[in-house]
Amino acid sequence: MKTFAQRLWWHRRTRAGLLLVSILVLVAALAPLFAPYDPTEQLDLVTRQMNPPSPAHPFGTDFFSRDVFSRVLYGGRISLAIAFLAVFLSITVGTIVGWLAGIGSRVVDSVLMRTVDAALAIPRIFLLLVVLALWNDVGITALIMILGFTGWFGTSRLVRAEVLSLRERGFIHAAHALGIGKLRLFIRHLLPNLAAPVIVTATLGVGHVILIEAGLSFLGIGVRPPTPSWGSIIQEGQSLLAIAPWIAAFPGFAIVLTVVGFSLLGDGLRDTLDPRSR
Amino acid sequence: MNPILRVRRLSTSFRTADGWAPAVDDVSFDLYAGETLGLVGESGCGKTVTALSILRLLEGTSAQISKDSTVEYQNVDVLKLNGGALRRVRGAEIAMVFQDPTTSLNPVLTIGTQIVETLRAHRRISRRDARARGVELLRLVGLPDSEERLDAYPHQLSGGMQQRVMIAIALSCDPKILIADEPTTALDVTIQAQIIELLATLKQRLGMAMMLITHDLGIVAGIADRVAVMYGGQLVEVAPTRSLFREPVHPYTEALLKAVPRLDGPTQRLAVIPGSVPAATAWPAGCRFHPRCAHAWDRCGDEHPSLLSISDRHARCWLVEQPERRKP
Repeated sequence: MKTFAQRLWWHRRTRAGLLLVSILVLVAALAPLFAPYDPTEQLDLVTRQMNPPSPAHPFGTDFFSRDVFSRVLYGGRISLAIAFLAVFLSITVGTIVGWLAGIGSRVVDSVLMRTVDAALAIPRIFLLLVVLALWNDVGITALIMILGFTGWFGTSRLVRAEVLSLRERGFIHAAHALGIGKLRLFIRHLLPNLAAPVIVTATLGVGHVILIEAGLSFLGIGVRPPTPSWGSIIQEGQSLLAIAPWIAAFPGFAIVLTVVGFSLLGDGLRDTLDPRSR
Repeated sequence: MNPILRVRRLSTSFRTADGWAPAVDDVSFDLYAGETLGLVGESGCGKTVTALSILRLLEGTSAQISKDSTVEYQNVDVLKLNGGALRRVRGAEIAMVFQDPTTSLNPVLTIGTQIVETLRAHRRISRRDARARGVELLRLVGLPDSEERLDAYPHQLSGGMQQRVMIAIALSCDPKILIADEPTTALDVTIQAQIIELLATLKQRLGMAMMLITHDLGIVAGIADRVAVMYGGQLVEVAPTRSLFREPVHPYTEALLKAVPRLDGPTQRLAVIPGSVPAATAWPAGCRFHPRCAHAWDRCGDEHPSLLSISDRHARCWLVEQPERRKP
């Protein structure tokens, strides 16, 4: 019998995802250690403006002569932090709402789920655009909250469905028959069984939120300059795509790698955590 | 002697698209302290629903227990208890072991956690003492290395071991009655024998009463003191094991016994019961078994027999009143 970690490592694609995600997270977290320059410092507007990649500037420099490599590292920090926190928020809210709907009476269930249905009918990006357009000068905290509170609908439906099926499982009936109280059943016996699907959604969710955040920043309503995030760097590089493609290309690569990494890891976790696939 | 459990007129119906389906209908029986009662019958005859109704485990489903049903445990009607009192009966007074141990244990909690939890749900006992009791219980049900097993997860144990754990959990609070619902159906044959033997030994040692639900007449013959046979949601015969097997009164019991292969005696084609069990929403008039019965006459289609007594046994059959009608 292999341990969980061994099974995860055994799966080649999961291993790739795990490595990719770990490296990206590590590099982003330790950005000040790796970054050769301050990401917002304008080095020399005359000689170092839009320099192509070179040993001194591996990812080149941008229109303001800032080092793109340092900006991508720091930008990763912001993008990943936003994604992690927003996903944490949406998973928490989604799990609580879904759990309540799953264990609650028919009325509670209907009210919660119809609300979620209604919210899901509005495209998320449209919802975000409206909120962010009406809200001037959104800070990063507010951005995380907005991303978090618009992202839990799917999770809550998943958790509700999971709770409803768990409630009918033999061990819940057996524990009930032995006099274990309802609340304890729903907390102690049900919640830990939700871990697997929730972890998988969370992992896949991180990649998703990074994309959304990049999109919003690209549209100029997410992370505001001069703070770098992958989306905002791409946005700055957008108009210079023809003459300095490296400015937008490197953060673009970073996004692709991250999303692929989290997807691989998420799929791998699903396969490993799902008892049916053992 | 007073029975420890007295079930009277127990009727449980399920709401279906075709109207109310009486899954259990007018079931009355007594369970005495220290005895083993075997409840037998084919799939869907109402054995399990009877057991679940006794502990009111069907609440929250489409099932409804009729108002005049009573289930008296030590002279208290379980069907009228409030939530807290009911929970104290479940597990502590009447415990249940289910069919499939692989689904009855929570896969994400250790064995120890699940034993400790049941103990602490019913008793004021410290975690440490509960754990010590857990070790003792696992030893009682014959699990080797009980100390280490306490920290094992269910998937690390075999099916037979899991059923032993389920029995340990059920026995944790010294219940007076153990209801075992087909405890060996999901296990392979050699393990079945071990589990049945374990149940018999424990029942003896702890002085419990046991209600053993099964469709395996061999198991019943081996350990039950009395047998209750169910057909179509009703008890059709209740008798001491010996007399039931030697001389079945109800034609259904008779037919069931003929359908079991025997090791002693000549080899012959096994008998079958013609026809099939009708749906619970469409019982025939009169005796529910009469369309399939070899002895039936007009009265059986017109009048519904109640459980009639002869000496120390009961049968729901007009043959009790008119034994001359029995065909040879």
